[in-house]
Parts: sequence; structure tokens; C-alpha cells
Amino acid sequence: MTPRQLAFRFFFSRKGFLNLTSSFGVVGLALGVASLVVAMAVVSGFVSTLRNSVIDVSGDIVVYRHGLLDIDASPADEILDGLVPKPFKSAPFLMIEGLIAHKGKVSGVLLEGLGESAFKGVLDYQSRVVEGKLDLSGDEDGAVPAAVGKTLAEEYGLKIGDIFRIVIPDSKTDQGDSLRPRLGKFKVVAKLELGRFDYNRRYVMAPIEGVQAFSQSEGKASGFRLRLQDSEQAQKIAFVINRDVGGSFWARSWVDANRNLFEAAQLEKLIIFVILLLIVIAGAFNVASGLYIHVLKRYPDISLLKAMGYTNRQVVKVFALQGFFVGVLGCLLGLLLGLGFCAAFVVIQDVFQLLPADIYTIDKVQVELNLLDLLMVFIVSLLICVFSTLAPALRAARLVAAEGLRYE
Amino acid sequence: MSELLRAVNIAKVYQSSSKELAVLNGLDFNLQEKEAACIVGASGAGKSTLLHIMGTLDYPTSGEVYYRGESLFLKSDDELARFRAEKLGFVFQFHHLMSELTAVENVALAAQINGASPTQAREKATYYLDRLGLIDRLSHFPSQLSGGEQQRVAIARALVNGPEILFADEPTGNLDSRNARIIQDLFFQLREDLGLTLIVVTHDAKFASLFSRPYNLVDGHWS
Repeated sequence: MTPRQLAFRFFFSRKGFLNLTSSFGVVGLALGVASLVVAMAVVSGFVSTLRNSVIDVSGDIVVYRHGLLDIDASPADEILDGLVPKPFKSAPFLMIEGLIAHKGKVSGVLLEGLGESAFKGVLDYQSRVVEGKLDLSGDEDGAVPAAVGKTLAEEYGLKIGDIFRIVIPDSKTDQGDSLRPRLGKFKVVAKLELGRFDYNRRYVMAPIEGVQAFSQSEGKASGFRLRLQDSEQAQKIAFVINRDVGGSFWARSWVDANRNLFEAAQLEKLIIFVILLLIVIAGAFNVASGLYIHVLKRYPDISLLKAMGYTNRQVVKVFALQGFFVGVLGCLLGLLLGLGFCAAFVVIQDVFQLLPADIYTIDKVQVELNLLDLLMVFIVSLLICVFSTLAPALRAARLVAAEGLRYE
Repeated sequence: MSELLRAVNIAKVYQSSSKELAVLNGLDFNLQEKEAACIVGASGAGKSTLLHIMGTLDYPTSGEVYYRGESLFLKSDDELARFRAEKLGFVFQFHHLMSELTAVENVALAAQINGASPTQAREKATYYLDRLGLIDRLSHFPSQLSGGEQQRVAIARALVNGPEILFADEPTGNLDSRNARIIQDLFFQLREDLGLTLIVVTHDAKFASLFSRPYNLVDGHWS
């Protein structure tokens, strides 16, 4: 019988290692692993939610021009030819800042004009509509159809079909020190959940023609929004655009636009991993103490094995393998528990508002189970468990054979 | 007959924090091939300690044990393990069968440790258990066997690798008189049939009297 077979028999026997005492150790280890799984899934989900909300609303890269550009004279395909791997999609946008004035309240808003091309694979607003319809055609009652962020709608009590006004300075008047205000009428056709609190609170989107007319900049745009085949390449391509296009153009990728946030999230993930690993280490030491007791209980058997010719290395193997079995069992159980907790988290998040939106900029986190994260949690936890059970296994090998054979 | 085992000036001292306890005080012992020796003495005389040292299950504080002229304690732990598996067989007072293995598995385990394949080991184990009258008990667990049967399984386990020396430490100490008698007879029968060299430790004077050469140990000295 090889040490592996013997370890298996010892492990599953009635007086084996898998008894009530060591079961607590297994549960402790499993809880540690489960915490790690949940933490990794939530942080990955947080990063992913943030990434999606940024890309859906801004595109992979935003190419700006200092001063407005003439859409017909500067087509994106021509400017970016050879710099951005094809196929890519682009859409011009016109962004202006103004004041919303409604029911006696006033606050700053970002008004973005987007053309039809923006909704053909560049930006994804359709999935972000929480109320109304994203139909920006038509110009009823002299009002430009507009979609507004849901928090903005709440704060101003805007309902679908309501008319509101945005005020901007009239750029074509020159009257010395004074500015003449220019008033635009907009009609709410949809409310948007943009995934980020600051966007939800300040964002108004309307057809680019309407915004151009309102701001007296017909045929002009602030720049282009680009959607690439692979969003992960955005940072590299933005760098190339900045290096090679020059002039008054400059590009910013979705990563650069939110660098602090993504870096902080990655750092947070690492710190959470290290801290929660302490629970796994505590669990592993529980398992080790259970194995130590098991070694003492098995003293006569260890002595007998040595009398029959088992080497110290083989004795270590028998007990280290049992530690390994517990590790595998605890880690697998932990993974399952973790998956369960993740499912519970999703349900609880639907019922309770767990994240204060004004602090975290997003109000709902998706849970993302990453195979690489799960593998890392499993392997690191298992290694910790195996290392911690080596001490009792080595103790077993060092026992003097004669001592265990004297008594029953 | 040639000399098989020689113990020279064996001393064993147990250290505790406050004092030293000398269990064996410079003992010599010779064992010839195919000889049956019995070490007899009262409880605590050091019989088992001496047997364990000669069986390389424990180290002496000083002294040497030679097997066919070769010093045993110069060997590494792995070499000693190999030596025990090939050359020695052990029977203990508390049979020490593994409770989660059946009778045949307990015996086969020793054969497998000595390098037999699982099939060969099972065949050898079955042969010895049959020889000791336990063919109907192959798949019984130790808890399903009587004390005498358990000890016979332990003897089969000690014999399965064809050892050159069989060490028996109080082999009848845990049995009733009837079973003790059966086991005692069995030892002599096996020695006769297999040509074994035998060292038995006992405090049973009656059992000791059956040997031609009993050694009497009193407080770590030969008397």
C-alpha cells in the first residue's frame, strides 16, 4: 500500500482525520476561501461596472480639438487613417456647458449633441434607458428632444414629455462686458441610467443638429468618440494619436480619463486579497492543529509503519497528503460557498441600496467571477494549507518508533 | 551456525529535567542463526527497550548492534527502514493491527512496503493467514477478530516478508491462558518449519522455560 493509498484510508476511516474536530478546521478554511472569492468577485465587478459605464457613455477614445472642428472638412476616417486599427467606428459630438433652469431651480449641466452614427456601435445608450424611448428625431412644440440623467430628472421633477430650458451665453454677441443669454427649449423623451452618479446628475443628451443650432455652431463638433475592436488597446492607440496627429487634436482613452479610479480599485483589490488571506491562514492553522492531534492519536500506527520499513519521508507523505486532502476539500467547499455568497450579494443588492451613489460614483456593482481570480484564490489557499500541515507531518516522522509500540 | 546479531555494551539512559534513569547498563548479547532466545524479567527490567534497540526501533545511549558483522547504527534512517522491511519481523503485545484495514490488508501492507505488487502482496498474505488457520477471516476487520486471532494476524504480518529474525515482545501478554498456549506453540512450530531465528521477550516464566537459552534481565543487568 503506497503512502497515497494509506493516507486515503486514514483520511476517510472512522477514527480518521475527517472527524468532527477537523471538520471545524475545514469549515474555517472554507469560510476564509469564500470571503476571498466574494471580495475578488465584487472588486472585479466594481472595476468592470465602472469600465462599462465609462465606455458605454464616452466610447473607447475621445478625440478632442481645441476649438470646434468642421465635421465635413475633418472626417475622422481621414484624420485617424493608419493610426487606429480598422475596423473602428467614430461619431462626432458637440459638448457644451450650460445651466438648466426649471421650476425655479438652476444648476450646471453638460449638454452633449450626438448624431445618428453615435448609436450605431460607438456608444450604448439604448441599454441605459430607464424610462421613455430614445427617439431623438422630431422637434415638437419647438423643443429639441433630449435624454436626461435619472438623478437630474429626479432633482428637477422632470417627467417624460416635460419641457425644460437650458441657458448658455450667446457666443455671437459682443457687447463689451455683458453677455446676452441664449435660451434653448428641450423636451424630455428618456431618462438615462449612466452608471455614474456625476453623469446621472449633470448630463443632457440631444441630437447634434439641435445642439449645433442652439449653440450657433452649425456643422461643428467638439471632436469624435471612437469605438475600437478591442477596448483594452485604447490607451496605446490614444498615445499614438497624440504622438502622430498633432496640431490642435488630442486624444484620451477611457483608462486615462479615469486613471485614479481604476488604479485605486486595483490597489484595493490587492489589499483586500492580502487582508482576507489572513483568514485563510488562520483556517489553515486550525487544520494543522487538527492534524497534530491526529498524528498523536496515530502514534502506534506510525510506529508500526516504521517497524515494517516505512521511511521517514513516507510517513511525512502519509500525513502531508491528509493535510492536502483537507486543503482541497476546504478550498473546494470555500469556492462553492463563495459562489453562493456572490449569488446572495446580487439578490441583497437588488433589495437594499448597498453603495451610496454619491460616494462611489456608481450605485450598483455587478459581481464578476474571474477564472484567474478563482484559480489564484484556490492555489494560494491550498499552498498555505499544505505548508501549515507540513509541521505536524514532520513531527510524525520524527516520533521514536519504540515509544508508540509500548502501549495499546 | 554463524553469528547473526551481536549487541555490544548497550546502555540506555532516559533523561528527565531533574534526573537520569538508566534502563540498560552496558549489556552484551549474541544471537546465532536459527537460534531461539528468550529474554525474561520483571516488568520495567528493560526487556522491551533492549528488544527495540536490537530491532533498530530505538537508539541506545551508547553501545553498538551488529548484524552479520555490520554496524547497524552507522546506517542512515532510510537504510535502516529498508533493513527492517527485508530482514526483521515484529510481533508486539498489543498486536497493533490497523483498525481500518482487513486482516489480509494488514498482512499485505507489510509485503507492499517491502516492494511486492498489490497482487503479490495479497497472495502472500493469504498464504500466511491460511497457514495460521485464518483463511475464513481474510476480510474481517481487527474489531471482528478475537484476541488470539488478532495476534495470529500480527504473526502472519511479521512473517510475510520471510524475515531472518522474528522479534516478539510479550506476544502472549495480552491473551488468556488458552490462547497464550496456542500462540506459544505456534512460535515453536514456525521456527521448526521456517527455520526462523527468534527473540522473545516475556515476563512469563513458564513460557521462558520452553526455551533452551533464557536470559534473565534484572534492573538493566543480566543476572
